[in-house]
Amino acid sequence: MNTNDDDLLAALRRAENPADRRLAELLASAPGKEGRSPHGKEGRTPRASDALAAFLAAAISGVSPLTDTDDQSVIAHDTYRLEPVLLAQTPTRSSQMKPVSAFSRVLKLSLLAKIVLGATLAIGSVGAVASTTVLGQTGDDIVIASPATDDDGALEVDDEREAHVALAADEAAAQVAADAARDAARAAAKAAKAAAKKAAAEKRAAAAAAGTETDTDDADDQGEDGDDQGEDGDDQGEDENDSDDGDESDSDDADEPDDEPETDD
Amino acid sequence: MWDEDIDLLVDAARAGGGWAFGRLWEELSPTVAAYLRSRGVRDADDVTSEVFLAAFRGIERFEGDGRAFRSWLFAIAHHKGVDAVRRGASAREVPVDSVSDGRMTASAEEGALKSLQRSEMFRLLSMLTVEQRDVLLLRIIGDLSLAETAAAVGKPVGAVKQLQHRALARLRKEISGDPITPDPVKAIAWMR
Repeated sequence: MNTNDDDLLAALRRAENPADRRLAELLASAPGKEGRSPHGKEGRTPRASDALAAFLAAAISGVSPLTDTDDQSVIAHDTYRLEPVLLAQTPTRSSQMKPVSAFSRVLKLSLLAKIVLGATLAIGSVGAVASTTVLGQTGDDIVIASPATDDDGALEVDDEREAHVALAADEAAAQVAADAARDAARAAAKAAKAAAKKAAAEKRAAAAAAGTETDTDDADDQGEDGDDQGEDGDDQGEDENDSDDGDESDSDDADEPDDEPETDD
Repeated sequence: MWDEDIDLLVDAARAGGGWAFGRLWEELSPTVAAYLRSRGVRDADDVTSEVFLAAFRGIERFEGDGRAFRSWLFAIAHHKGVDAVRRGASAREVPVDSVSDGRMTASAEEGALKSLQRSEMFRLLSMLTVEQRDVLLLRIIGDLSLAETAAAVGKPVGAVKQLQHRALARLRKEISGDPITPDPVKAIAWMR
């Protein structure tokens, strides 16, 4: 017996020793040897693990698990024999793909969230830069719009800047109106003074004209008025401002000289 | 399956043909799983999957025909089996029922006989050392030559030939009526 042959069982079967033939019979019952034929399977197919099932599923679905996919012979073989391969874990393979699909979905959502976050940050940064560089000038006041201290966004920064500008405009308008009112009051006061002066001048002129007429008509009254002037010095001063009183005093004074001689008589 | 077909499958898988991986798994996984079960690996199916996954992922670096691929596959299986036994994944008892395939038996009597023969075979194998048993299993179940077995276990061909010779001599003695009392400690250690 030559046990150095490639086929050890065949060598044992050919041996002259019955023990070797019995041994060959026992060893032939080893698992994987029974029912073995060139055209058949060599026993039951074991259950594929999750990792191997995923690998085979990816390989069969066309996504090559290997890195080298540029070889044209692959395409030739694929078109040559495209037939489904029955795996031991076919029913559980679909459920095993669920975490993979969920993971890909999470990846997509995270990518979308990153894009949205990036766009938001870009818009916010552009608004912040614009708010720090824009200067507003209203009248004599220069309003510098600075970024908002709170983080509510660029819209509030714009609103605050507009509020600053509007407030400055209102203050300027109010100041102009106050100046105009002050000027108008001064002008009115000046006009009132001028009118008063003019009235006083006219009164003096009228009084002067009236004086010439009494000299010619009431000569006695004038002499008596001279006495009255000495007695009623204060009243004379008051008559300059009050024309009516002057008239009354004149009329009273004019009557008294006439009465006094009568009483003396 | 003819080795020529294995050659074609290996070439296609090496070139990235997805269908070839499934066909190789279908054709070669039962034998690899049987070797691992016979070696005492408890989770033989999972370890078989690890073996094929490692082979498929490294098939770009593999050079050779279908026969060489088969030898390479059993070399991976040997190392994975050693690791599995080391981490405690070995079977406490010989999984006779789990390795029997009812589709291959013609009758219940034949199945019972196979089961008895298999039990006897495992009893005989338990008398061997681990290295002697590995050599015999690779030679018989893996259908590897001496050189391929030597490459799989990482030993010189001469050492493998010596291990095989001693293993057969011991089994021959046991069968020829000069029974060798099995070492129960060794048998239990192998079972675990």
